[in-house]
Amino acid sequence: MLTTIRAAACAALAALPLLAQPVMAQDKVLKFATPQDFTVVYTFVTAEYNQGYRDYITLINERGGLGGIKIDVLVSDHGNAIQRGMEAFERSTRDGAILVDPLSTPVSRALVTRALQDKVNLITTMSGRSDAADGTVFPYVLPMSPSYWSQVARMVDYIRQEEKDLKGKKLAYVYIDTPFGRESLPLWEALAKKDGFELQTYPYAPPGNEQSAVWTQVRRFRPDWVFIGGGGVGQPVSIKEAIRNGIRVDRIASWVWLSESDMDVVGRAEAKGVLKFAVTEQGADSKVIKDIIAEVVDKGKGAGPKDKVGTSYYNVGVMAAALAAEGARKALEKNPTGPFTGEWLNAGLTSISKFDLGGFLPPITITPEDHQGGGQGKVARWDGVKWVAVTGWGAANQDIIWEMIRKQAAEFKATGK
Amino acid sequence: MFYRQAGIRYTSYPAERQLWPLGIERVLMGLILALALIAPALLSPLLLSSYLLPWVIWSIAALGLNLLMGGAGQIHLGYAAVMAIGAYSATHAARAGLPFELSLLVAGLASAVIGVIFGAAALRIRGLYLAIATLAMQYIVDFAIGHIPAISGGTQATVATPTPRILGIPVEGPVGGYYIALVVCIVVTLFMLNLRRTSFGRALAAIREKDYAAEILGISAFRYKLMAFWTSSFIGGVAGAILVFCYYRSVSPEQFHLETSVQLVAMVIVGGLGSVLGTFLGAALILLAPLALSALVASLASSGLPIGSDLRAHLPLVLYGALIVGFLIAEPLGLAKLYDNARKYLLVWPFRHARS
Amino acid sequence: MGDISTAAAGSPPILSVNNIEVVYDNVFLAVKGVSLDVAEGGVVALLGANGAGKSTTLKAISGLLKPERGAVTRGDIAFRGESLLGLDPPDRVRLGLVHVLEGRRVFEHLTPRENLIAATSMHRDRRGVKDLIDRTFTWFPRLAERAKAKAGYLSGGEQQMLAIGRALMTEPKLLMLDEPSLGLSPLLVDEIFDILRKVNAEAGVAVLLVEQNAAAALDFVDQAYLVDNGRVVMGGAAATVKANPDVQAAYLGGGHQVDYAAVKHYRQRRRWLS
Repeated sequence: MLTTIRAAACAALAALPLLAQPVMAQDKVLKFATPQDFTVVYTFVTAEYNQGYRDYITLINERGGLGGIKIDVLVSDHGNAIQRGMEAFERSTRDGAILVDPLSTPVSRALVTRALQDKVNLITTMSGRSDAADGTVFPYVLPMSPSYWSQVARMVDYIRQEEKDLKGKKLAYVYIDTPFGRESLPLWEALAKKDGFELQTYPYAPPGNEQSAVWTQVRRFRPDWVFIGGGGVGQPVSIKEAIRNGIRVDRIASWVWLSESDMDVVGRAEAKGVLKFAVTEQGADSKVIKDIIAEVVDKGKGAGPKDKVGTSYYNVGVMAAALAAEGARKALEKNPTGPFTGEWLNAGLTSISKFDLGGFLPPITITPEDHQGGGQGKVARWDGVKWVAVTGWGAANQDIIWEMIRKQAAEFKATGK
Repeated sequence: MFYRQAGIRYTSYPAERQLWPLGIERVLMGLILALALIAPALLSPLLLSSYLLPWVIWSIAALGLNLLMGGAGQIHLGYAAVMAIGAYSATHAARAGLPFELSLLVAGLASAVIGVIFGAAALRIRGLYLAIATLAMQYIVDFAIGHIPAISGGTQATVATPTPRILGIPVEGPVGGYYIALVVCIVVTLFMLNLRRTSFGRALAAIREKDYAAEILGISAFRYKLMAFWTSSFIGGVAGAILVFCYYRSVSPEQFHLETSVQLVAMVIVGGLGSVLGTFLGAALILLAPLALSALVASLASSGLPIGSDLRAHLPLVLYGALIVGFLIAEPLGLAKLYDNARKYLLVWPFRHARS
Repeated sequence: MGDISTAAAGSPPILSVNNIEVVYDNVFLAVKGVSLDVAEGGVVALLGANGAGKSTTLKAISGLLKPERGAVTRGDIAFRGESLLGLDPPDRVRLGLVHVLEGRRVFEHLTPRENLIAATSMHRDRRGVKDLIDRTFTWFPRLAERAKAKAGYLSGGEQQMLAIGRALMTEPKLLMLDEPSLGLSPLLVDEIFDILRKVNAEAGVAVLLVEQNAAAALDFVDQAYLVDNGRVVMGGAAATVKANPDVQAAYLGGGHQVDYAAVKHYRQRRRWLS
């Protein structure tokens, strides 16, 4: 009998939050929700990203908000599970969130139809589907960051400049065998055709902590350059395997998913020379990061440990928060009295124009048609201690990419309903 | 007390074999059914679409798995793959223009056929070895879906499901989806409740207890094991189709990975092998407890308790694990047995013991 | 009808079960009030019909109720004056009581010798183990002959011998046997009882025996208890029990000179007692 009572008590405890009504929405607060994966797959990025996101919003609020209106960030964990992501989406929109940033490709893919129907801005920074850049088909899905296609194109363009001519050169694309890794395969083929290099692609099984079989094949191909396309645990493993199989460190390139802690795993000195795509300025020397340290972190209002401020993914979080806040500012300019709905915010987000956060970002312009914002970034090289930009802001082959975006978006439009 | 047995005297075999011999249980069932029917009017959209709807759908799937695990004693570690087959075949059938009702049937049949092929392994092996064979099914189906663009939907690997139409009338939104799922759930539940009263159910039970002892009673283990896989996979396929049509609204490979299979097995075990009620309770605990716990921790955190963001993300998982282990230690036979203990206690109340 | 307390006056009993009640699954009452004593070195039988509660009583003594969702809810079980309730089965074995389960339960994939060695896990002294094995093989010469076969391939009687021999490896003071004659030929039953007699005499092991085969059991034991419907209804010296006309009628098949009035009286009394 005691066990039954205990069970009933547990059930009642579990039901508590269901009954709790949301706090009455105060006037003049905008709610941004960041239900993200703190616990399962995206753990390598989420903590730092979310810390940067919240620190930037705190900076805005400390400075008096957007003309007196403050922003509230709702944080929760969805564990990369679609079910929990959907629940978090429903819960935060009920609680008044007009923007949701799930930072997970599976979750954001599953939320696309809901966001379009419910008119809630679904931010897919560095995640989600690349074709969401087409705002005419995906009005409420906003990547607002260079897609993986843009990142690959930029890096291949850098390699082309280094080599002068790519004809006859051998490039290997080693990627995680998930939709995320496979998504850029068509672009690689298009680029190989255009630039005339020899391409071989090598998938490894997720999550990627064991890749030795793949790399012995890569070794036989004797590539001039290797591009590693993964995220999280697979990335340092790829670099280590590449070095072990005789590939020159400075001929290893990747997209945005390489951080300081990945370099720690490889060995800071051993990894010297690795290239990556950078969406923001690197390090803690930019003005906005210095401002955050002075006005937020040093006043004890930071969302996490100070030594993480200015890391690669922290800065990406700052970028996402800055774009969201800039969108809200634009929306207030257009329509100062609201009502502050997802539709209202969408009008602001899609009129962001040449926003660069004092040089921290490339100039980003979002329009109702273009949700990517230019696809620009820098190429950064690991110097053994930190990431150092080796180029200026730039983008490449956007014509090919937009052709692909439009084609896939049209497919979604034709068959999605 | 409420569970009064006194005065129940059967005058016919059908009366003795009825599903709910006790008056109180008939009343309870009626009440639950009535509540389920008017739930959309009672619950907020959040509770309906994020808690009740998935609970009903996952219960269908877990019932199908429980038929196999609890009913026939065959373990299945690839049940999410069975659901995936149903989800994809229904989606593609509906997109090709088949009516929704027929698409559900296609889902069930496709899952049943492929499920039986893998289930045939059960004829030779059992226990842990069968677990590995069904695990292979999980991986093979995962791979096939992920690498055949015609199934997965190409580069983006996400296929939106058409709006379900019942007799040509479109059923939109969570409320419509809820009613579709509820009807299927009621049908499957009635089937499962009646199973043990049929020769099929009794044959499965015999095979579960000792398959060679069943054979010498004239029960063909070959036939009934395959039938168990067939029926269970059929239910799983339909559940998968309902899941993507009424809840996810799109289908992608991540929805049906190994974690999902493990969760389904957990639902069945935590709920209680072979118990219909337990399946519902197990699905509720495994599915809803993480949601409710993270909401609980979040509301504690926002009410001023000093819970850091890291702890805030991990604490619900710790509590969730503790909850499952706690329930299983309190009652190793699952949640259904907890209810059964209380019921038995009340049956003999105010006396301490029944005559065995 | 008979004196319930049968322990010899003066010497304290090795096992003393005092009015225990056993409930399965929180609600089903299987044993309602069983009391019995086994004297040091004594041989006692627990007789009764199917489902009377004999095996449950043994399991309560050896501590095996828990896996079957049963529990002792009232009364006490004392072994050499120490209460057993609250001790795990292995602890009870260490104290010196061992239970040979119904249906033998040998380790089928091990040889008889390995089966015996498996029962010595609590011995520290390796040489002692060898002596124990030799002792067992002397008692059960048939096992020595088949020491290298797999236990699963032994005959039913040999498996029963192995189960008893294995239990004796723990050097018990009290051996509890649940239906050792189950499914065995009368000749084999006699052989096993002969061996048990030898074990009792040579090693001073007390024996508590649960049996359906009342005739064979009553020839073997000094004391017997009769269990019916969860209670002890009769107890006393084996000869007394055997001579009782009701027992003759109900359990020993002495149906030729049945006093039907006595049977009726016995049944009524039985009903009243339960």
